[in-house]
Amino acid sequence: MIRRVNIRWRLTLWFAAAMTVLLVGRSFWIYFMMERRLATIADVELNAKFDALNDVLEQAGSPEELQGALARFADNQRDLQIEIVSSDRRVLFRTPEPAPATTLRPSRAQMSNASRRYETRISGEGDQFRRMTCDISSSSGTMTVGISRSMQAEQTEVWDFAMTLLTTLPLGVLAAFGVGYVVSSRALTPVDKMIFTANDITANRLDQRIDVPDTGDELARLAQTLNRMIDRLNKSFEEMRRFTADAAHDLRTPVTALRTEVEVSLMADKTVEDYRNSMQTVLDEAVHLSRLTEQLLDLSREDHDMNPVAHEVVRLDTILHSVLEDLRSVAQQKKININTDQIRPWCVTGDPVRLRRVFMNLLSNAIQYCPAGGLVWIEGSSLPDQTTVVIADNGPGVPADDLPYIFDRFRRVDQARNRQSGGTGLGLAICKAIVESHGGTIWMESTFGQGTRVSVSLPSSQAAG
Amino acid sequence: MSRILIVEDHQTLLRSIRRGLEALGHEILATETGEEGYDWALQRDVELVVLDVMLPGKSGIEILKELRRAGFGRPILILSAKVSHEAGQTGLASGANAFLAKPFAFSEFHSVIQRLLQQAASESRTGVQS
Repeated sequence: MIRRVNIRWRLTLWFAAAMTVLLVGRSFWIYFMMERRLATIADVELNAKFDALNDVLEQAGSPEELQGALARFADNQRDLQIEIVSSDRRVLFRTPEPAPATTLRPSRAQMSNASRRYETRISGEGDQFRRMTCDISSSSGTMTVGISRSMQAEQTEVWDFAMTLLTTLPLGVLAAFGVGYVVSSRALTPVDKMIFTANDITANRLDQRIDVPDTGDELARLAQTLNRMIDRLNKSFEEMRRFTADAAHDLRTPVTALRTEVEVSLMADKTVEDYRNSMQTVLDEAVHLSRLTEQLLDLSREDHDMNPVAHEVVRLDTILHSVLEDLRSVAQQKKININTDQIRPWCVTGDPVRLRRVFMNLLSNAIQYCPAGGLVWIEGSSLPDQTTVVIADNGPGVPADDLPYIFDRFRRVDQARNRQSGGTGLGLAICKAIVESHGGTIWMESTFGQGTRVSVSLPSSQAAG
Repeated sequence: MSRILIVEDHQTLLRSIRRGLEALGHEILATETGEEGYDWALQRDVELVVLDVMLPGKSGIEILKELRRAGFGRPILILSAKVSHEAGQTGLASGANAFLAKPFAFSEFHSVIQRLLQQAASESRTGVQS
């Protein structure tokens, strides 16, 4: 049930409950301490009276004299009940009102004198008496002297005090409840503000931020954490928005071109050569569009983790040789030299099909952008945990301004040339997505005008070496 | 026959539009960059400019604003492939006379161009008469 109650009320209830336990405990403690203190005071008084009685007992000569002296003593001490019993249980003296003997309770305040015993007795009517007994030896044998006094006044006082505690307890609990509510409300006000702001933040209003209280406490840290989360959301929304816009642009423009090309061709009769040219244009655009849609699908699959990474042992050298075999004719046409001397039997863990796509993209980029007669080479290193493969070329390189965005989607360094070469602007983004889904990293170093190095670092397989 | 400048970075589309408009009797100046388009618009006495929004380098909207600032008063048609019509709104607010979203039909494109040219012609006639 309590789980349904909000934090403010839960804190208040816990605080009030803790305060109630404390208040009740303290009341009991005060009550018992007071009762004990009053018994001790009574014991001190009984002790003094006993000393006086002892003097009477010691001074008396004959038994008659003793009876007379005791009667006088008892007459002077009307609040005391005195009882003297011989060792053979004979009552030697007793005040008219004998001490109650109905209920016995062990003494709560034992004094240091071991021969004097103290106890609290309760009469049938519930009145309390404090009694002290002591054995005295005399010439006529051992006697037990017991003196008692009523604790009525103290009992009333303790009772009144207990009543006061009991009647003020609900007030204390109520106060604890109020204080608990106010304190928890004050503590949770920043949380309410955060909820209000967070509710106000929607996909279209991700520029808003939660006010960070200047306290440096947990709530400030929570606000900072939420703000960082909104930053990340904002960034990914922006990326998504840009990606959608770019994708729309890159799909709609070729579709428009296709349509216009066909419409214009149908406007009037053309020569066979004109139609052939038009058909070639349509085919080129269709090929480009199908490659683009294929790559968009690939990216979408990578984004949504639709391709779980296989944990096979993959020989990267085998993949590299197979990719180079496929690209051999393109490279030969452009008279590009490819140096494969540095390739070693590198083993990594992953999905061979997707890793092949990575190196196919990287090597075709290197060959595509290298001028005729250029050089492409592969090098790498293998450590127990990471294997790094570098695809390098001495091509035109990438301008420094473009380097930080080179793996972004639809980012094309040289758009015109890229379109001519059939690039979609998604190849490197797909490489990055695949490498990262393998737990690896990909980065590019380039000096404009001198060449480019793309490094792919992947988790080494245990079978390596 | 009118002299029309087309600024579009997609070569196939540029070529198709050019062929289509030329077949309909217009004289076409075509370029893939906004910077060249800006210069040609001001220097070559073009009667209408077709401007793509997403161009490499300066965007079509920037070129549009610069042309209007430079006093270019002829009609400008902007083309956009963006999902939202924001680009079109921005274009119209920045001084474009019409906006066409890709993908469009060539017939649609041509009728917009004709309308703009006729409007410009009637405005200049009214201007001459008054």
